[in-house]
Amino acid sequence: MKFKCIIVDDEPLSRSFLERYCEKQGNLEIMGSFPDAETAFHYLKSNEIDLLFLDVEMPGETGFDLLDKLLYMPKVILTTGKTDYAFDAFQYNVSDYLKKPFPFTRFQESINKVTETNNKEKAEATKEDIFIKAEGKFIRLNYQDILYIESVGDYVKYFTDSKYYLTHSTLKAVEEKMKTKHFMKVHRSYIVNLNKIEDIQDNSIVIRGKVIPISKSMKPEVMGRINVM
Amino acid sequence: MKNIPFSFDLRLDEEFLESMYEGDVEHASEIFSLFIDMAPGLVKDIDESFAHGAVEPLRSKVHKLKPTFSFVGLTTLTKNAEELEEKCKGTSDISDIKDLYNELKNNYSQSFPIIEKELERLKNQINQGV
Repeated sequence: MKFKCIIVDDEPLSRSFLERYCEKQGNLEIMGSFPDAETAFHYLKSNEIDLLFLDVEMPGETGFDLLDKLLYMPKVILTTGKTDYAFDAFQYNVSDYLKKPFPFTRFQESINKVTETNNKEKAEATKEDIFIKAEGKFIRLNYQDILYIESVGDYVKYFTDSKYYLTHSTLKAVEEKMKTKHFMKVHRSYIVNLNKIEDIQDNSIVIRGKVIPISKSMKPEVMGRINVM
Repeated sequence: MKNIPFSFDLRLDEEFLESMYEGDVEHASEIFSLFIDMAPGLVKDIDESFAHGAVEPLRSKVHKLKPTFSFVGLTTLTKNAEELEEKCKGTSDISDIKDLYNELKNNYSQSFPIIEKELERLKNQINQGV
């Protein structure tokens, strides 16, 4: 499978390098190469891609401004001349962070990481249920029965219509397992089943009467993943 | 991609260039050519910002030029640019960055002819390899 990708960087030499690296890599199909966030956004409004190579500091809008506007979140590899954006990179859950200039071997590592994550997500997507350790035993939960998951200190609570299950885990570990199953982390303390959302207002989601906050950075992806008329 | 044996000028960071191009002389030639087309204009923009005492625009332009130097093996200039960019962050007084600016300018002026010669050598190597 080839990843459809685009490059967004105002610096022509950097774009040229990435284009050549993508060609050498073999499993990447370059759909476009853009000098700024605005033209890239125009393309992304009507085209879906798998992978975005994104510079941060560009004239006009920054790379993060572009991510804020996207209605869906492709895999993102930041390509920047600075290391100052590590915290933002973490917040936006980017796949990797390449400090320019980088050799081809480092680029390959990055693509391998994206491919591995993609394969794991696909494998998880074929499963219908999950076993969680709660109440002293392993309990099978069907993904469709889970409404949302809440982080409580060192534990997470899986909420279903009838009850909740408390397990010793982290939301990050749960997210890794469930993000392709119509589940999405919408806040540092919540993962929700997108199929169970009753309404969305401002920066909150309602599921079975429970009001769940949405982080500002996650709102565009939430809106992109639900079926808005 | 054309892998033709080529040894870069010893004044350039040969090891770094090899890790970037892996023997792809056509790609190296393209990038060196782009650098020669672009760098003078970018450096002129930096000079203008310096002349106007505009530290933040200067920082932003130096930031852009920073990786470009390494693409042609001028890793020392990338370090110069890094230092200048950092210095710019802590001041709005152009005189604070004067020494680092001059250092970058001098190193650039000395290095540019090397890149021009290297491009010629790359082109010759490609032609001989056809």
